[in-house]
Amino acid sequence: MKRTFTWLLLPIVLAPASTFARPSTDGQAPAIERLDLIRTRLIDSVAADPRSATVDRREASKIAQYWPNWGNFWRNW
Amino acid sequence: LAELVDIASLRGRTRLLVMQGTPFCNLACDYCYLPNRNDRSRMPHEIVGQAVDWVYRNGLAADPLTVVWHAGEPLALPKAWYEEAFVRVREAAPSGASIVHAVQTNGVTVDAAWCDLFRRYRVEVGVSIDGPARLHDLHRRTRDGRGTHAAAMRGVAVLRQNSIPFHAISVITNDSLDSADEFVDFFLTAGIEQIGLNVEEIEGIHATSTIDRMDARLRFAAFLDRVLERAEASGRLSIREADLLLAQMLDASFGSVSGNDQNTPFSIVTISHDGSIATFSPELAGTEHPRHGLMILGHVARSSVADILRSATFVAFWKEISEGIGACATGCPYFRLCGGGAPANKLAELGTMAGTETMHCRLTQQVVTDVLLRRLEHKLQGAPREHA
Repeated sequence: MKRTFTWLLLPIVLAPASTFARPSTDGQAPAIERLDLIRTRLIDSVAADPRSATVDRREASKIAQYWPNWGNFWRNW
Repeated sequence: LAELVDIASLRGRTRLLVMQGTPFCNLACDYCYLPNRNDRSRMPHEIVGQAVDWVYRNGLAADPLTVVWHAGEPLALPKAWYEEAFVRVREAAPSGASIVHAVQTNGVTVDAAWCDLFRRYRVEVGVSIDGPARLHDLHRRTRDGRGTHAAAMRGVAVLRQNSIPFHAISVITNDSLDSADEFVDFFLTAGIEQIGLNVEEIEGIHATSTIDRMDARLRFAAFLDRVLERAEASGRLSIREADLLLAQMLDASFGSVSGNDQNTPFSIVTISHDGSIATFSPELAGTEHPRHGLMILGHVARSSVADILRSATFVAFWKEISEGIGACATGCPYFRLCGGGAPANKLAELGTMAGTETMHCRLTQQVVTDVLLRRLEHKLQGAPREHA
């Protein structure tokens, strides 16, 4: 590729940890703080009914079919 | 993390080989990050063979290996070029190796002959469509400023007439955020049922983003929530972001993440049209940075993986990237799902790959995760859910 590319340097700002997770708009703690609980419930739900609406048609085996690994990387095209 | 990479650990690691058949693009989308879209160079077929040989000879290739033709408009090259390239790929790979070809195209030149090629070589196809013409034509234009939606949709029609499966990747700009219903209606009407959402990034020569706004977080959350609600109600739209997060959460390896494909050495290998080798985020290939210089690590005809691992360039990249992963792992609650962000976005937004939070990760990781977890949580609890 051409070597004439000029990079626009933006200010270096390392975000402190506190900026990562913000409270949700309804005042609840962010859902990310309940990730393990939600995941456990999800797994239980799938185990109870593999065809449940919760997982719909998104079983892992089908996801690979829908989204080949390259589909996740390309952006702005 | 900053330790040198053990070459033995790289065996079978490369799942994605990005091949830049040409840097040229027949369009001039205003958010494109590539610096060299006017360059009509073609990858020599000799380089095609050398590149594939390189990933196998160095023990990198996973099975299957996906070869995506990209980093320029792949269909700007003649069909005959691919006929020869696919032969070179097959000849260079070991017998029995499984290789999947893929293209991500703007769709405007797709015709029946392209479909014939896709069918014969089982090429996986992605088309870039930003939604209805009103949104698409704001940014995806020809060099003389004309919108390309009609041409892209002609290509989509040809794909459908020829029964070629494809998905769409849509760039979400500030203009999209208040138009979730219009966006979904378009895809439902067009019968395009698999959609990936890519927020407009700050990357490469695209130094600003229309979505880099104080209100973007809340507006993107509302957009995504509505898109997911409509997609779910339709029973036929599949949104990549939701699919991938659910797959991650259901995967047995959940919680053991120490990186991702963009920040793990040689998970992705990118070969530029001249045979230059890059790894980590594919967008790093072909860019030049004041501190790092050219973001390339070697050449398929001259460099082994061992050479690259010993090089000062790789060591500097890996040290910086490792620091970034470590900082994300220490401070970010999304790390178990994200794996430490994308080096290309960190470099473009923060000036260093050792950084942490970017606009890109706020929207594509944090907001996506927040919205999806809350939707999932309410669904699992069986409770009525308020909009984000």
